[in-house]
Amino acid sequence: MARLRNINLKSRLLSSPPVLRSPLSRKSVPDAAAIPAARKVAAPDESAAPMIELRNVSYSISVPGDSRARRYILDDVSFSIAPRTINCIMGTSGSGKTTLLRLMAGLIQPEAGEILVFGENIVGMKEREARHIQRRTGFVFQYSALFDSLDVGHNIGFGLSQKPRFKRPSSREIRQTVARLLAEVGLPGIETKQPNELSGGMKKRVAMARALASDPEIVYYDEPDSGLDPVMTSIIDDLIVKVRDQNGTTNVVVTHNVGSIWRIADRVMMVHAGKIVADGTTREVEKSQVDVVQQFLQGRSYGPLLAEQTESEDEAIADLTPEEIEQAEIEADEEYEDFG
Amino acid sequence: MPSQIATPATITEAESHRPFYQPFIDALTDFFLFWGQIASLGIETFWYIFRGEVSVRGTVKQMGEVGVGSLIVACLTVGFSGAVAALYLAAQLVIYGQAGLTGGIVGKSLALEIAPVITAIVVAARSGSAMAAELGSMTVTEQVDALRTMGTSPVRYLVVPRVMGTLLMIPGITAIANLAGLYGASLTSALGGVSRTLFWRSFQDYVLVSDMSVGLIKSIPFGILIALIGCRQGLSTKNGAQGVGLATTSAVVFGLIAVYVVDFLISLMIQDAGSFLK
Repeated sequence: MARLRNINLKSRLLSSPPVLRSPLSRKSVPDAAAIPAARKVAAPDESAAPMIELRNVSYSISVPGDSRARRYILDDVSFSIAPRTINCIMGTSGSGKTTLLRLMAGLIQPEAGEILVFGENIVGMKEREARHIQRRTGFVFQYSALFDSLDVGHNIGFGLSQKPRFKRPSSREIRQTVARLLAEVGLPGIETKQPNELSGGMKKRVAMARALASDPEIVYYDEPDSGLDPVMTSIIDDLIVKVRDQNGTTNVVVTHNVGSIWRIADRVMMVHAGKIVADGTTREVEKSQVDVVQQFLQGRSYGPLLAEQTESEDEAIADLTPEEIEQAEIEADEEYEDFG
Repeated sequence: MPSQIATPATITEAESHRPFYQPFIDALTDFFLFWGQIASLGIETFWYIFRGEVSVRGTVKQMGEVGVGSLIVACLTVGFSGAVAALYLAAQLVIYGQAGLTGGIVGKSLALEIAPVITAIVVAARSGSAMAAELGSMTVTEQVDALRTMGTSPVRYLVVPRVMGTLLMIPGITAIANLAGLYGASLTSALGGVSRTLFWRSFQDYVLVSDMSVGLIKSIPFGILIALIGCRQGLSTKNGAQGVGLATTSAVVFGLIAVYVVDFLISLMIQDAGSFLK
């Protein structure tokens, strides 16, 4: 019993947010001012009509093995996104941020709520009807999702070649657009290469070029920096800002790279437990008093430990002597160092 | 005091108690859902075909894939099946003094049943599985989602050429495989005591053009079903590489079941129509 009590106490201390208990966990939050800003022109028009608006959106999935049970990934989420802004959505893996992005892009349908893109509600819209909205947006996937069967040039020009006949550019125009976009992402002359000949960073940039080919008004980025080294991450960040500045696109970036967020974001949202738990500028989010936000920014563990906390644990802690608490604190510190 | 978010990352609705018959209901639901999705995919595919939204280049490429992949295997399997059928039948018919029926019986069997069904099995195993694997791989690597985000219908771009390619190629493969079966049968009937001349004369006397046509027409729904099932399994793939493997296997299994069920139904309809005409 005493052993169980001790384990519970350790869990509690590990999950307890207000006090930093280990030197390893004292990683400071990146200072927004200390990171060189990649953006040049930041003139988001907050007063203009939102490009994207979510109203009370919920999304759930079925529980394997039980057709009647549902598990909520997003629960009553509402927010809107202003034009020409870079909006970063952060959160831990599995928190629902990619689901949020896929909902906005119309790849999945919510269980409840409305999603307005360019003022049109895409919820319940047939795939055929949503096509004209999707053609005004671009999507950069986490693993690039380049078509294996096509070379780089055809990958980038794909969206243009699939346009309705009366809107479709000529082959020459498509080739020129492809060449221009490849030059813009710093990869000129690789049109004839196959996707499997490219590195991860090159694939990401080709995926960006593909997403930008049809001159979209909104660009969604799903973890554009995943699996990339810091230099390549910085290049991708600069490209996102450049695209916003040059083309006036509205950007939604899902990432858990705090450094990137601080470099590029006009606005930051954090998704946790199916809710938006932080929403504001980098400065505002940095000062957030919500535990999970601070824990995320500092890279400390949270979540299940916090959720499993029960009243009986509280009582167990209350029953302990100061010596026992001190011993448990030491053990918790050792565990932090082991993790490090 | 900082605020805490104590809700778990996922919220499960009220505890559900599963009655003992729930697995049967789930299985039945899955069954109808599967065939409903195949029907829905078929309707959407033919909607594009009737609107003329068919990629000629894509269709020709798929015709090549189906033809190159299946023709030789179909010829070999149907060829040997015809040879074995003739071997057994000739020996039996000679005993009963009906050697002159060998070509007719084997010819009708090949035209009506053996050639279209075995060709469909080969196409399901060779091309249906390839379609499920290719589309499954595209699905798990988000390439299908990438198509959607560019305003392109995955059905129009991926499914239509595959269905068109298969339905255009399968009658041809069936016809060639049928010839291979007849050739094989003519070779082995001699071993059973029926000369090749007698075999071909019997074939000419008893096998009608309509018998050959029925086999070829029958192969078209087989081809459509094989392609639709392969594409549906591919497009609904989940869980990475393991999911692609499952999709591939299930495409072949469901394809084979569908071929046999549809074969039975078509045969029943043909028999009924024959009785009615008489």
